[in-house]
Amino acid sequence: MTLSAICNLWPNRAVSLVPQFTVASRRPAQRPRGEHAITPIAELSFSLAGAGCNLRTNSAALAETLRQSTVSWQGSTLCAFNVEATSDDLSPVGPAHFRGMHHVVVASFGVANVFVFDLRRQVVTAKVSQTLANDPDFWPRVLLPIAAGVFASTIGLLPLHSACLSRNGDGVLIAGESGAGKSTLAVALAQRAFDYISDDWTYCTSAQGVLTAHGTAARIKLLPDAARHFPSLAAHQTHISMNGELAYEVHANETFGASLRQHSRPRMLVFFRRTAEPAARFTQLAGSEARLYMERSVERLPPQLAEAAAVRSRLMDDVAALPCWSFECGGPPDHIAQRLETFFEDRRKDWIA
Amino acid sequence: MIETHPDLLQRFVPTPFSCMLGETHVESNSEALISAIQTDPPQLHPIAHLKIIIDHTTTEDGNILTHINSAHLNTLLRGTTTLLIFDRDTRELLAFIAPEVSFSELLHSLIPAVLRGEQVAELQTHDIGTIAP
Repeated sequence: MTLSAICNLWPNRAVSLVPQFTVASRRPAQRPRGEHAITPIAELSFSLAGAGCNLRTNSAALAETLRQSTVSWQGSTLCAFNVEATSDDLSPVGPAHFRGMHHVVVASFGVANVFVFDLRRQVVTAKVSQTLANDPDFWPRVLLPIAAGVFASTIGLLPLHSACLSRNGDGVLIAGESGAGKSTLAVALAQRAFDYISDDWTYCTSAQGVLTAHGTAARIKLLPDAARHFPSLAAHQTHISMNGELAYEVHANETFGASLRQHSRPRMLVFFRRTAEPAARFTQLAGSEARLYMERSVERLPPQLAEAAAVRSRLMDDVAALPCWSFECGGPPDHIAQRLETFFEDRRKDWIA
Repeated sequence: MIETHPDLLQRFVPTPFSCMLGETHVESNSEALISAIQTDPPQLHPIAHLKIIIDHTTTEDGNILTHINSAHLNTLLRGTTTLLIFDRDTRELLAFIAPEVSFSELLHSLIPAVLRGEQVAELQTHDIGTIAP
């Protein structure tokens, strides 16, 4: 497809609605010998868990999806996404397949949809079908969480297997085993006027001694039995999630009226374990236990990414320096949330003081 | 506490078999492949390091070839389970190969193809004119 044909399909009217996009000039560019270029018609910068990323693509639909589902980013970026949508490929999306070696990770969803992550240069190069480029669900629900996970350690983010909620900017990180009830507790806290940041994976950065926890704007994943506690789920359907579980995947604000925040300053790390008894028990933990949890939950990195591993290790030290608590409690989600809220507010007086 | 992450990406598959072919260090998890590559060596220039995993966790899923090239990497997929990546800067060639793919096809067809970087389709940096809001 020629540049002029692309511009006719995506006229200036669309550009004026999306002012941060840019349109390629018609001036031919210098190209390495033997290569042909796909001209980007859309370019935008967005935040991926607090890291600036730049997208260049020939798909207006994809650019619009990312514009709507991410937070725009001003300033320099750390990652580049170069995505080519093939002009006439309407192939269905295939099963996910991931492989990695040294500094490269390849993710494919059928032969028509391939993403190559270069972790040394922080560049994703992708070729996707029109079907995928036009799918507004795939990018925020699947690709961006994958990209955050794949890139995190090479761009100064610590992936933490925890939910994160906050109040007035003060965050609580809620860690726990898969199935412990982090997401359910996150919803219950959001309904008690906590701001919602994430329910499963949180990304931490550290700058000038200040730790910050970021979410990815991913949807909350809740298992079918959560409908017993949250009637608003009745308006949604379950489907098979990325890890093969049958689950609801819903927007926190649309489904539960949650107030969303992109980041907060974490003040405590809580390891949640659901028990049969409704009595709440908080036990202070050593930072070494938090550190062990983090080391077990993050992906091993190959020797080629040793520098990233060292940065990640320092971030783990920063998180492990937070006050850490074991929190055991049973009963309905709102009861558990109320106990944690009380504990959090008691400690919060100290931070304010 | 949660379990340690499994090696979902197959990043840490041991490659105990190796040889030098000219200036190319070759390593693999397949002794048969190392033997084949020594018996019938392909054109490996300019590869400095060739690492090939025979991926026994997958099966062949078609022979459609897909090339994806960036400023530094040439990538070639055959189906989705056979993939080769050549880093032009570091001259490393990394590959996962479905067990059904023959050594002959790998050595004399797929490796040359990824080195050539055929059908390059890279998003180029153009002189971009911003549309004012």
